[in-house]
Amino acid sequence: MAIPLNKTTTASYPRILGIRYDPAAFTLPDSSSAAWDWEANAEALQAINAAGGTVRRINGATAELSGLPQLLASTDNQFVQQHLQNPVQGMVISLPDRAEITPALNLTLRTESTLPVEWTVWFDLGDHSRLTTKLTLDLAGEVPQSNCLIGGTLADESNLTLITDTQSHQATQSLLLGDFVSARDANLDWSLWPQTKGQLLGDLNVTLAGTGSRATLNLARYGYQDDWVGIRGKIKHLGQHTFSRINMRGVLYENSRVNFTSIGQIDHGASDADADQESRLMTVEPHAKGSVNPVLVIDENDVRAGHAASVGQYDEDEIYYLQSRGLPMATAKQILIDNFMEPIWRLRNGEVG
Amino acid sequence: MSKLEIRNLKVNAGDERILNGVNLQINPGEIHALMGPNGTGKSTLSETIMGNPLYEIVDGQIWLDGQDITEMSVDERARTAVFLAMQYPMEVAGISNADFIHAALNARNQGQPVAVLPFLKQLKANMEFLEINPEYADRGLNADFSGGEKKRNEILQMMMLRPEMAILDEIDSGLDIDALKIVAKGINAMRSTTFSCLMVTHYQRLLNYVVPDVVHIMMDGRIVKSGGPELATDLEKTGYAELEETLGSETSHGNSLE
Repeated sequence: MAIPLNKTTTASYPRILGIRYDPAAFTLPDSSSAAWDWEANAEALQAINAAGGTVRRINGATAELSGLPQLLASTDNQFVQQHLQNPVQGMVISLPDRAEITPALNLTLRTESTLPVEWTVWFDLGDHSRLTTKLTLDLAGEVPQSNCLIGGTLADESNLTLITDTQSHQATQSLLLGDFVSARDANLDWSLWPQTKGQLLGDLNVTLAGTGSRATLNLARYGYQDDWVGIRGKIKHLGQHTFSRINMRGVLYENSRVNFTSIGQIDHGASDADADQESRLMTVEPHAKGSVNPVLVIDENDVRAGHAASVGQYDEDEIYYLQSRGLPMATAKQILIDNFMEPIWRLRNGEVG
Repeated sequence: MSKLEIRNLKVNAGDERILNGVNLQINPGEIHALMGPNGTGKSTLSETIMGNPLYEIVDGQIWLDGQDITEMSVDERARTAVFLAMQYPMEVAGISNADFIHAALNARNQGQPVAVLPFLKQLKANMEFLEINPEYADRGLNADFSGGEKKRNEILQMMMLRPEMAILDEIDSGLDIDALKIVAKGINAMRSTTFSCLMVTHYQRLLNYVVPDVVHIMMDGRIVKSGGPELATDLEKTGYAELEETLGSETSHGNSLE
């Protein structure tokens, strides 16, 4: 059952800086019984099985998943609590120690339901293991609400490259939660393209717990008619010599609203941490609005940290230059939009390649 | 084949009058040089011909082959015949040099795609001619190019797009002597009865390699003197101040400057 909303529980919903939203809009009314399927490429599945790993569907089992009970016990995010108190449905990808999987895993979860959907996709990577995953969450039906949690634990010196696309065929209320914990010298490269239509609230967290662990969070979003998007990306540095980058870019059309908050948090003791973030929005049309809120929370002296942020239109001089070669305005604009998003796509495509 | 005629062109940038009645005619096949002191309106004239929205035509017309182009948008002018090699070419990293030129050719081809293989063959040939590293075809448009490389890339675009009327705004600025010769080679390669050109420059040295048919001197937003290539040579010796003095004297005696 959904946790009832009252003043106490509302206060513990994630306080997303600079983003105003209605928690009720993202609270699923009840546990979901929506039908869904998954598929993955055989080549990667075989490689994972051969290495002693698994890719399996789960339904209701949380205690056995590395890191999930700890997350439930530690989080003050009411959405996460609610998500994990319902029977967990989704996929678990686990690799034993020293499993290096060469073919990328292309994993798709799809539903054509008209009911709310709750998915958990959980990664459990052993020491020195390595995996690239392209994860697609496809709300193909008339799904009114979705609540998706993507996360996991990365053991010492493991490496996860994760590309996540979410999409819906109609306007929906989507909650996208992320929670990864990285151990010593583990590396997470996470590129997201959340393109579900309608309302989207994202709360993506990475904890760099081990010495020398690293994480990069890249996110791209296009906002169209009536889209409302509020996404927070947060990387917390606990270990020494940790490294993080947050890159968010969005292009806003029509009357869309897109708000990004990026947080680099360096706790006391995380000496020699390196945190940097860049968030930029391009408003293509006059009624589109957006905000970017870069935040650094630093409780350690010996660190490097920086941020850059901007909200603006395309450069008129660049439009003029492109038009001066004969390109129509629409083509010139599209080139500049692609140019604006190129840093994110380059990172994303580089990861796939 | 394009004939450019500019009649009594007066142009403002914001509230400031920059061009005070420019008259100019460039016939098909002719190369003209436009010289003059800093801040006299040369680049404004170039940008106004191209249709830069920052500049407002308050009087006069620009005719190309008998058609008034002053109401045309920038891209329409480009597709009609005009090419402007800019003083400060923009960097757009998200599109490759080759893709950009191909897109521009497609736009000039009524939106129909230009065959890729002949295009690539021509691009390769022109890059070799201009001694441009072949890898620059796949790099972002002008992205991280040096100043000289950007100027050469402007000439490459001109050679690929083959406009009938090119305006080269200080194409020689920032070039070393070797690069200047290469750029000049590109301009000379375009010379034909169907190509006309206006070269804006501060220096005589470009004109040693691209000999113009006509040289114009612009001052205070007007063309104050026109002549053959020797006008630039004389100017190199005397400088603008002496010319200004002479013209001022002529003006005080009631002579027209144009």
